[in-house]
Amino acid sequence: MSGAGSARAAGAIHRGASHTRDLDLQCDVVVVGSGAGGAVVATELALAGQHVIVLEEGPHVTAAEHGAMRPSESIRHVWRDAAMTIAWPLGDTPAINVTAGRVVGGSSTLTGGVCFRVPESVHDVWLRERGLPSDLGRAAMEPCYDAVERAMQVESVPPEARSRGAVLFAEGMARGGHATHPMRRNTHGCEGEGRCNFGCPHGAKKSVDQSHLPRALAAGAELYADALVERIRFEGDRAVGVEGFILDNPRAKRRLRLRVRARRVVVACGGMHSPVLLARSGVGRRSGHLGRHLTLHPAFRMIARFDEPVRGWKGAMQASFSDAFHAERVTLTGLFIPQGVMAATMPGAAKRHVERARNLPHLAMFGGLIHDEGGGRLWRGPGREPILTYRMAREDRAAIPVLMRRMAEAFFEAGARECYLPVLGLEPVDADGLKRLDLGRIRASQIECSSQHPLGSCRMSATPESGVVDPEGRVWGTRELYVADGSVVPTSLGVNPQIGIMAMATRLVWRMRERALS
Amino acid sequence: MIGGPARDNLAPVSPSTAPGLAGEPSRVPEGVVRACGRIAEALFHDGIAPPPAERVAWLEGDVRDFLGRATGRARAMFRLCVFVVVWVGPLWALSLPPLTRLSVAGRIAVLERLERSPLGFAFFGAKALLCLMYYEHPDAARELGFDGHPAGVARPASSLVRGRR
Repeated sequence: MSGAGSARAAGAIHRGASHTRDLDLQCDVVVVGSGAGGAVVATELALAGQHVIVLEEGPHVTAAEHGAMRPSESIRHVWRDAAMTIAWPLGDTPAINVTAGRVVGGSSTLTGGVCFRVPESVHDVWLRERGLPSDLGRAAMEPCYDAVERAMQVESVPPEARSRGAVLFAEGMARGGHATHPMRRNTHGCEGEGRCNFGCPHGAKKSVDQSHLPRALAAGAELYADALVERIRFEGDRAVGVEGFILDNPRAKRRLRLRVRARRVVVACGGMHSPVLLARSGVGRRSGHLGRHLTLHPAFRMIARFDEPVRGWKGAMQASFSDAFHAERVTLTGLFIPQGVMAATMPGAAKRHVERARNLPHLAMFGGLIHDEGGGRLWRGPGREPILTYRMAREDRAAIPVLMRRMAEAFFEAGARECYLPVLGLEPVDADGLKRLDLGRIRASQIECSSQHPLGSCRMSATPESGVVDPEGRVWGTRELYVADGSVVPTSLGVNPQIGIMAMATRLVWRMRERALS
Repeated sequence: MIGGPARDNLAPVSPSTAPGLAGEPSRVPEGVVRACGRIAEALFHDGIAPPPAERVAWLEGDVRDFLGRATGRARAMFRLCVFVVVWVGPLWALSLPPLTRLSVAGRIAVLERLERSPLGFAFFGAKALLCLMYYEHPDAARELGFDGHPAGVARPASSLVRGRR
């Protein structure tokens, strides 16, 4: 092992298939997960001279390899559970398809590149209502945000990069008296191929596999892909390492044993899996909050048909947003999806379906998410994947028709002929049809809903009784065990969380660096 | 630069051509694959004819590869969706299951009814995956008017380099 400050030779990425025998490793800090949180922690610690090992359950896929895959190939190889994870609805709640990455770089690799800082009002809630320390306030965290955005080359999408669909939506919003704004994205040299969700084929999206992990490796970190951690090892209340398996991906068959001894353990498996790892390791349950308070940002799409060709796949995938309806708990963001998924949203079968799908070049799309209250919960399932349930709060359920109507109205203002609402089997509606439609009466079971932002399942708290980790990211009641990912977010954010997660991880690791390794 | 170069032609894409992220896919029950083919014949019928048999066979091959590489839970979820469509769907349209034994017209009627039923979500699960794969076929993509990035054709000459980089 090496201490802080010593120079290390460049590290490497080790693929699972390269190993022929069980692995027994040692390091200063082992980071479980290579996504937005884990990559930040690994990079900062490696740059500080600590010997870091990063373990990632998913495979390592280069930009060229991302580009070589069809979307459905990407889904089968690098999306968790082949994108078939469902948050099972409780009560008046739609079933929610929850997607996440399972690849080096984590979900960061599969985002649309959207970069929002956490709104000041949310930071205020953390301080005022959750009793968290003042350095979690927006102003105090500015240096963290600045560092993350510098590393990720965050820039505003120029007007000429917007897709025609985004332009039309903005025009419709403007006619209704509402503003849209250019999105800030972590891209540099984006060629607008509209397939960010399947890994950028050019490396132009500065996801953490581009922005952070190469720096971590250059500073001596070692990254093991195809490495599943099943348990954290303890001596008394002190974490001393992890154990698991090297996998044959993508089916995740166990192949070889893996054991890492470390002086510090950082869990960064994301909102769905960090609580599972803690529970399996027998920690974090005492408070009763582990796996609870899961927020999802339930998201909905709106598709509109125009007379003019739109060809929505041309341009930056998520080029603009609107916060005009924040008071109604809604954030709207530009969006496009692969042609096949777009076609799947066309209602009906056979002729009815095919004719509508062939309108693809005339279809524009926008999306919206709800700043939810957090009615989600994770349960240990029979395998290694958790079972998710979600009970939507009444206020959130009431926001769904508002969100649908706002988006459809904007498209109609821009001249759309008809809109396809996110309601299974519902015929498209024109502007008059929308006015007549009682959106509040649509059954939850008929509503299409997705989520890309599972957060808050190991929430940070001011006291051991009210959460899973302390304000420093340490799991209450343990030593040298940290969590640094979206699971520690204290509340729903109301905006895409990548930058917020990374800023929180930056704050955490800067403080962790100051604590000597024992 | 905004917007990639336009492609007049999408090069042919064969199923199971993902980079060497893994070895051979696991075996998948042929009944599920065939059921997907029968659903596709109805779902993608354009009112004149079902999709070409070659394209349905291509889709079946890709379904086989997809499920052969998916984790156990993903396979179970997809098979559950297909089970609902094949065995429960016909009951909704007052037909006798399984759907695979119905005429194309009968299958279309079942799918239409099922989509609007409380089990519509299960149908949507199967429909989404089948559409995603079906419309990746270059001919199907062309019929939609899609001229974007022809994903899957710019495959690097060498597949993933295994082992230490």
